[in-house]
Amino acid sequence: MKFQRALVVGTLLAFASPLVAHAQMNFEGLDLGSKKKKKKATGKKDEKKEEDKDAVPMPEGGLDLSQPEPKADAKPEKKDPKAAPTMSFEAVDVSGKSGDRQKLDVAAAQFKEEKYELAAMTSSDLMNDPKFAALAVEAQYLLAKSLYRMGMFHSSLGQFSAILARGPQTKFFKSSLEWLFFISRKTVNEQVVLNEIAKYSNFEFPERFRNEFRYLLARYHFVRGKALDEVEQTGEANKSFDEVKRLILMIPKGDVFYPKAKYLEGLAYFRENKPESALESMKEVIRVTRVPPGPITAEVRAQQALRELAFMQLGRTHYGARQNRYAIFYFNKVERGNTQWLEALFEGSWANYRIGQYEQSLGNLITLASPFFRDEYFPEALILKAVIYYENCRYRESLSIIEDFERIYGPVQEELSALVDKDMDAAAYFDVLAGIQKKNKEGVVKQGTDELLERILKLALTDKDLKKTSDSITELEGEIDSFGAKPDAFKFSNLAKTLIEGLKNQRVELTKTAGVMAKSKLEFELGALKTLRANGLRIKFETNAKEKDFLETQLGPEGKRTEIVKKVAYSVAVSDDHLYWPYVGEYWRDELGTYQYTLTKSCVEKETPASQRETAAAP
Amino acid sequence: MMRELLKVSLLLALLPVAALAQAKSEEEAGDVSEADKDAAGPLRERVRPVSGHQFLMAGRFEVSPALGISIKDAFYSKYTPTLALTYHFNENLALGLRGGYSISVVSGAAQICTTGTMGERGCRPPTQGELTSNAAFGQMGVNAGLELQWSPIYGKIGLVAEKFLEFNMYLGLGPSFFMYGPQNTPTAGGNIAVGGRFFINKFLCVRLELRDLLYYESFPATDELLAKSSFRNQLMGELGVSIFFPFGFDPG
Repeated sequence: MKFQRALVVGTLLAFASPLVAHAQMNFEGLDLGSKKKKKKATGKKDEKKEEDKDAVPMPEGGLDLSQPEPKADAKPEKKDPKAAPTMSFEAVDVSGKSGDRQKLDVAAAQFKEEKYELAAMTSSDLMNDPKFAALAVEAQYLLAKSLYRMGMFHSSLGQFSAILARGPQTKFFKSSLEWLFFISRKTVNEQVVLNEIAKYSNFEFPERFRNEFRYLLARYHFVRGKALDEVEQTGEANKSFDEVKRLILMIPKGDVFYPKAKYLEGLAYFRENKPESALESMKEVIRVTRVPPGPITAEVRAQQALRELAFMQLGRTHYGARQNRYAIFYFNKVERGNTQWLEALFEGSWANYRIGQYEQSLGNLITLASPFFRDEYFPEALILKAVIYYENCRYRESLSIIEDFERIYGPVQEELSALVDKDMDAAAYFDVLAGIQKKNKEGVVKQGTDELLERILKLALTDKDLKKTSDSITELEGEIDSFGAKPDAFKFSNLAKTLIEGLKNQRVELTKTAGVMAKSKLEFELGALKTLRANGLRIKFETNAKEKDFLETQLGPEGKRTEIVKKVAYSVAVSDDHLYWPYVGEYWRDELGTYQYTLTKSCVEKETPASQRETAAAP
Repeated sequence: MMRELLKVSLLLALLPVAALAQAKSEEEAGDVSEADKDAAGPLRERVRPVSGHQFLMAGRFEVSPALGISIKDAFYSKYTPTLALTYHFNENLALGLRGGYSISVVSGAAQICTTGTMGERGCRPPTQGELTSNAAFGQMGVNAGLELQWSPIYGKIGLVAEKFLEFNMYLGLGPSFFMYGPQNTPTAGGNIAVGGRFFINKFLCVRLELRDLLYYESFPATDELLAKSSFRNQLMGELGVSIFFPFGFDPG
């Protein structure tokens, strides 16, 4: 009993000391303490150990008791001279370290000294040397860490993935999972990491990363569900979305991933046509993303972006439920100049149209038509504008807008159609888009087809997943290019060759994915554009018919001259907290989004009361 | 009981270890915060302050006849018809050449005060001849100059919330040539100006300007007068009309 008590007290005292705890941490697997255990596990023969020990080159000036062989790959010059006393002491090998372990220690020391290129090369040599097979995983782990610190996140991901592929019994399995999270925070497209994380979803994640893991996995299932929906595998998609909701329930309120998770939950409910639940989730996002006063950091910006998306989704849900005023309320909450602002203006235009607020609706469209946003893609804006003019018996203007629409988007549709009909390899679709992006970057002046293709590119990149994948390819290319700026020893090493090869393979895979996305997006947009043009033609036909009726009335037996439109009373008076500035064709940044179009003329007799318009066809 | 306590203590002991192990990987990774993945940034950072300008000057010539009037002049009021030719390299920078002739008349502020035989004081405006013969400062003839213009401000104003005007403001600086005094003595100096253009249409605007002409006047000694000199700081207010060529511009 006494012994047990003493053991308890001793254990508590021992672990209360950070020093001992630190030593224990090292033992836990990242560095030194587990060597003996590891050797046992790998079952290396004693003879082999002796060989390895002999193989390690000793630094000059040290107590070299071994007889090193003059090996080409020994690279003694890579060792930091500052470390010499330690090394010479280690060379005595009082710790019982084997030679291979000492070489790994050299790499670890280089990592600690932030000589990441050297650390990467040393660990790569060790990893690829069959003599050091027992330390291959540890060396690869060090290599992966070094690449991360060099900012080569995709290369690093490749190495961590290889460690994980060895299975959960691998010593660095859990740690490698942790590093995946770090990488996901740095890469533009976290999807590349999500696929990897999802593979190990059945394993227990470190507590600290559990919520991040749940969120990332939920996101993975969300994307998967969306893709399944697109190919009409609804049953499987349902399972994915159920998984999204299940995972999100496990993320506690207050966690940093909670808002993002709730947003995904809201989208999942929206997809299931459960607007009440969707609204509740989105409102929760709004509640927990109030931006505190202070400097705008990347984190705060991300929070703002999420809040904005939640407002948009609230607006859309209410719009879907024909609660137009609520929809307008939420669309107006999107802050001017933020990412979702133009979308909010456009979607707000439809909601305003539905309740007969034509002036506001057209005002929003003025902002969208400003030269600031010439590159943005809102073809439907012209259709909406034509519809509003038509509704107000302004047939000439309506026809003129439809003609504009045809002039701008007719050739786009033709080009789009030609592109889709080519039925190229998926990757080739992305290559076409990448070619345009490259021309844009180089500032090449585009004409004719190129100009149209640029419109198509912009259109394709409105798909966020495609844009992220495209950004990810650019990021990969940047990483490949970054080898050029590294020191020669690294740049021309076998490691660099292997890594570049790996990155190129990753690029090929991503290009294929992006190609599939691009093709699918282009097909979707082609369909949407066809529908819009058909709607345009319908408006044109209706407008012509109305004009004909009007002319016939005038030329009738009575010959009575009638008017289609009459002047509408309007005022430029504004409330006390507003200023009136007339729009004269000049756009001021601070005025954008505040425009209200003044309809000076409208139908003599309104045919469609606002209440009926509520049920009119709308997107 | 002791065995359970042992288990608990061992479990407790493992907690800081696990935490440290996690801290270790974070420490090794360095910066693990979320990177800003929106490279493009918010729209507001990509939007220029004004677009679809009502008036653009880049690549256009400006011909501007104007009339300048001197301000705070002790002896001579000067009325200066001026013609300026300016080329605008872009919306902000321009190079101008200007020339004018000042008609100097006796200033209303100038007075000659004398004491009469009875000791009474009386003041009267001097005649042109009296000023000339006394070599009064400020008589100017030809003045011409070169100037670099910088137009940093483009704005609009509302007049009683009914009429609205677009305008720009500029600063001008450059060397000048002057002829001063009754002998039309030539000298070099400089000029600095601040002004505004109020745009009427695509090619016409009203120009309002305040210009400081800087030069050195000196009169040699004569039989009647001692030599004297003065650094002149001549303020001129100027009102003119500008016509831009070509008449049209690409709104961009």
